[in-house]
Parts: sequence; structure tokens; C-alpha cells
Amino acid sequence: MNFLKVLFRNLRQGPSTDPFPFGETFTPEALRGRIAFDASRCSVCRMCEHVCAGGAIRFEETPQGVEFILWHNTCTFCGLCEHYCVPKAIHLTNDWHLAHKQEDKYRMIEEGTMYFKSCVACSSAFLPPSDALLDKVYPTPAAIDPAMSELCPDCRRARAAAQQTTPGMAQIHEPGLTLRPLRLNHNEKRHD
Amino acid sequence: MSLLNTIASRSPWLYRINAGSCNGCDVELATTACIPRYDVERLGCQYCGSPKHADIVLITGPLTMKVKEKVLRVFQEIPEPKVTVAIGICPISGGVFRDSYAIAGPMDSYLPIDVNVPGCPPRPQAIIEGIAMAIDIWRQRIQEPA
Amino acid sequence: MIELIRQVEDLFNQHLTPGYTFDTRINKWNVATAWVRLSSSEQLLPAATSIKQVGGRLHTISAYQRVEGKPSEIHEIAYHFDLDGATLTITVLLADGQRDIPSLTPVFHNADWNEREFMELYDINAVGHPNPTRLFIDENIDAAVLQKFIPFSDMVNAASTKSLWEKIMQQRGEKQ
Repeated sequence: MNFLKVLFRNLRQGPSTDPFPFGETFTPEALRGRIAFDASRCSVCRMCEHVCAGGAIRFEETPQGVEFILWHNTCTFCGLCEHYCVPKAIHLTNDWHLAHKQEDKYRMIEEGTMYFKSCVACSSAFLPPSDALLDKVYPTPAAIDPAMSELCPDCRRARAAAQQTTPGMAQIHEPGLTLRPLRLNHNEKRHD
Repeated sequence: MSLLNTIASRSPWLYRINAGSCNGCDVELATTACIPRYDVERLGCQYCGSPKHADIVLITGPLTMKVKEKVLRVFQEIPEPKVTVAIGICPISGGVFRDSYAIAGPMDSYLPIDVNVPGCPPRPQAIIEGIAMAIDIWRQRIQEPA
Repeated sequence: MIELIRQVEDLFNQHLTPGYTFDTRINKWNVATAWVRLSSSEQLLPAATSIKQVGGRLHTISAYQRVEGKPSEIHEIAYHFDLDGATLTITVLLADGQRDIPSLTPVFHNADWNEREFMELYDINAVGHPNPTRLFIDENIDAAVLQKFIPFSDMVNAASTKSLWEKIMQQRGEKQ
């Protein structure tokens, strides 16, 4: 007699089959799916390339800048790239509609270009840190040193070295940065 | 003959080949057919036990050196016309095992693949999407004159 | 932490033949590390026994070739010990052609698999090992075979990363 109870329960509840592909299906918001890359947030630290489990990420240098290429067909959707990206330039969306025909196999890519900037002091090409990274690193927008986006690393080093000997040489928003003495770790000897 | 072809085009039978897979994708394949929640049988599909009955071939796993000969032999047993679907990133590119000494290379260097479903493992709904694409190709192929 | 290192150093002074170097470092967070370089492989077992006496543990053993870049017959073995938080590393150099080293397994049982591993990968003989059988590599294959041949994936042309990226870049080129 138990089967009647089950029968009526099933008739009331309806089928438990997921309606896809004949209807909408449930997609969790945090599902790790297709990669979205925002080149305006990337500072080319290449951490994503380093931690990528499937070796799906590749950076290519061109005369204009650095290109980011990710191939979905070897991406494991593990999310390590998103986890380790500081300015959150790379993000896994919840788009799981990735099935494709064989002819599209090498077109399943996500790409972006980070352009070089010209140093105002020496005119060499360098990759400026993105605004997203500067926002994360500096405590307030007013604290951001404008030289980070204008001078190449070598010119910034030369400026910092000069400031060690002549304090107040240039406007720095964090005065403690250059006037603090350099700390060498005297306790550790070099390994052989 | 064409009547039989028209009828057959509505029930493609699935055959699974595991070419050295970690079984993650095979578990996902089990959930698309065996449980009523994602039910691939609505599309007319059914898992068959013999390669001779197969219409759509689902391949998982990077082609490991040890299993390569056996997979190629089984694939030859499957009669034309057939549609081959690569499930997961391992057969498509070698996945995380690419360049290993134990992998023979991406699957499409050895077998003709028609549909790719990337993911590690892909969602059951994504697998059904791939199988639906394969069914479209299958209907075209079986209606063609031999 | 530094206390145990001092004890071990005293025991070394008592039981080991001279010629080894014992170097202790403490960094600014008070983490102590000790670096020992033995002058001969006979000093290894007395050193290990001394460490066992103060309650030290063996972490792992690293064997490597001394010359970087090309195959060489000069090997070095580093034994990594833990002394209640302080690390002590004993390095033994095996001069050209020398292939024998006393086995640590009778003193530290967890050296067993580490020694079997370097026996099959570097063709070094751990004298006194209770079970010197192969760990992973098949019996019919020579020891240290991985150093003698080119990578297998290169040989069977299975390495596919380069060709896959070439195809992807080609498609991008067509699209652009």
C-alpha cells in the first residue's frame, strides 16, 4: 500500500529531472566557468601564468606591449589564477556553455593586451602598474605616488638613491619611505 | 533503408571509452545518464555495452601510452557513421598531463574528433550540451547516402 | 632550539673524527639552523646516532649531482634533520667514482624509502640497507637510467605544448 503514497507524492511534486536542454537550468553564482580578463587591471606580474595548473596562460611580448592569452581547452577551471591575482584582473565567470565543434578548438581563447608606456625621464618602454593594483597597495588614493605611472623602474631607483642623500628632493606622499634607514639583515650569512 | 535511417536518427546510442582518464569525467558521464536528474535518455540516448552498437562515442582521458593500442583497436570496431565527442580537457589537449612521458599526445592526432567539451570535469549540463551538438551532427551523417 | 644544536655539536666533538665543519646560524626571528659538512662518509653513522640520542628526527634525504647542467659522477647527499624546530643539514660529498655510503636505516627507519630512491635514481649504494630493492623503477632497467637518455616524451614526439600554442597563435593571426 506504500506505493500509493509514493505515487501521489510523485504526482504532486512532478518530475525531478533538470529541464535542460529543453528549459532553463540552475547555475550557481560562484560556479567556476569561462575566464574573463580585464587588461586594464593587469600589471603583468605573471603570477597567473606561474600557478596555472594546466599551463593554459601565456604572455607574449610585442613591440606595443604584452599580450595575455588563455586557452580554455587546457584550463582546469581551478581558480588559482583568480586567487593569486592581486588586482583581480582575471575572473572566472559562471558561463559553462563551452562545448564546441572541433573546428573551433583553437579559437576558445580569452585575450587582452597591456600596453607599454614611455618613461618621462628616459623614454624607455615600461609596464606601469594598473590603477587597480595601486588602489590595493596604497592606503588612500592621495597616497599613490604619481611617479609609479610616469617613471620606469630604473629611473625610480635612481630617484630613490638620490633621495637617500638629499631628503626632500622631490614630492613624496609618504615621507617615511625614503628617510627610513635601509635595514640589512646582519644575522644571516650568505650560503656557500 | 532511408526509413530505418530516419528512425535510427532519433535514438543515438552512447559508448564510453576511458583512455587512461582519472575517472572524474567518467563519473560525470554516469550522472548524465544513470540518474534521472540530468537524464540524457530524454534525447534518445542510451549507454550500450558493445562497440558494435555504438553511434556516439564519448572519449575521456589523455591517451596514455599503455592504453593507446587498445583504444585504437576498439575505435576501429565501432561501425560508421559515428560521432566522437571528447569529454574533459584531457583528450582535447592532454590537460594537466600534457608533455608527460606517459601521454601519447592530444586525441585528435590519432582519432577524428567532432565535438569538444572542455572542463575538468565539465558540468553534466555542459556534457548534455555537447551530446546535443553531437546528435545534430549524427542526424546529418546518418541521413547522408552512404 | 639552539640548546639542542649545542648538545649535538658537543656529541659530534666527542664521537666524530675531526675534519667536519659545523656552522650554526640564527636569523632575526630566532630560528636556528645548523649546517654540517662531513669530510668522510665514515662520520655519517656516528653523527646520526648522536642526533638520535638527543631526540632529533630525519626529515628527508636529498641526493644530487654536484656539477650543474651536465651528467657527472660527483654526487652529494644532504640529510635533513629536525631538532625540535631547529633544522640541521648534514652534507656528504661523494668524490668522483665513490658510490658507497653507510645506510641510515638502522638508526632512522624512515630513511628506508629515501635511500632506495637515491639508489635507483643515482646508482649510489647504501651499505647496510636492510631491504635494498627497487622502489619505482622496474628491475630490468639499469639504475641511474634517467640521467643517461633524452626525455622520453621528446623521443616519442609526445611533447605537444609547442605545437598546440603554434596552432592557437595561427588562429589569432588569422582573426586579427
